[in-house]
Amino acid sequence: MSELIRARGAFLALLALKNGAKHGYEIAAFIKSRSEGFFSLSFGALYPILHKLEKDGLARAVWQDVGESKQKKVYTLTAAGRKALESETVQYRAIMHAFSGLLEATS
Amino acid sequence: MFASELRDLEARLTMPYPERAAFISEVGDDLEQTYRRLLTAGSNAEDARRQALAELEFSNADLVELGVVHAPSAARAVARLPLSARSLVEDFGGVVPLIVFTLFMVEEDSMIEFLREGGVQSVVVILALGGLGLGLELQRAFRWFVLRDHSEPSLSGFSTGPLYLAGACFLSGVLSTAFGVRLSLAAAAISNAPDTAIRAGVSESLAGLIVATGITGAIVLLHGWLATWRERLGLRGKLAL
Repeated sequence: MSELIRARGAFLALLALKNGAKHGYEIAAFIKSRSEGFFSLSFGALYPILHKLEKDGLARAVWQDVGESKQKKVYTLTAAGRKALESETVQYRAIMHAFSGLLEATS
Repeated sequence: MFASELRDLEARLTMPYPERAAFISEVGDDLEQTYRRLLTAGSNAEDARRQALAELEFSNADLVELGVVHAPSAARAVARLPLSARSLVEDFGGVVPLIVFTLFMVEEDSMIEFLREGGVQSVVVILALGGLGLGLELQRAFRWFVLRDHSEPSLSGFSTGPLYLAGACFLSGVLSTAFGVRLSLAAAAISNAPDTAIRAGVSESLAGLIVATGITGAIVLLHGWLATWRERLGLRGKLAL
């Protein structure tokens, strides 16, 4: 996975966690549905991203009981994760603004 | 429902335990969620199962990425070494504490004197057999707990060889002591030596047994601990002899 794709995938995962805890399936579904299919992270690509976020302290994972001897792993943002998300959001907004200006200028 | 596919996936993972088991649990849960969603959306059981597996398919690149994320820091440090140094560390890193301990002990005059009392040749045999057994177990512990290499070849190559070496070490200690005691008593009988001399001779002969018992005990305890840990992983690999 290239660094660019990895970085974008991490940002998408952080965005998905912004409004509350989700597990892997919900994160993938959120990204696909809210971007109207433009962004689609396969589970294979998503898991390394989530695990890296957890290792870097940007997300926290807890196992929740969901029934008789069943548990599911749910991710939430940590304080460091929220800070990283804010910083990345500013960056992406700046990129969008720059592209918007260039496209307007050349249209 | 997806037990067989999850077992296949587990075999392809390079992550150490318990992260590997936790990941399989996570994937299993997401597989079931996906399957239930597809059933609710109107797919039949067979199609839902096939589609769920397709959605949660992992390429080799994905698994490599996961392995990188979960690589232990010791393994990452070793991977940065040149190839020859890396092989050296992976094959002998575990015996470094034993070597350091030995070097420390040879500096102690009282220890050297104690070993000499047991008979140099006997003690060399005891230390060689016991050292080899202990070295093998320490190397195994280094691989499993420091490098956290939980690959199939690493986990299944768990042999009882060190226990045989421990047995041979202990037996050498018993024989060395028995021989020393016999010699002491025989010499005392011939020369009419006083009781104190006999007691000194017998006492010195015990050095071999003491050393052998200590090393054998360490090997057995370490082997038992490693075996228990491996059993808890639920592995039933064949023991290689």
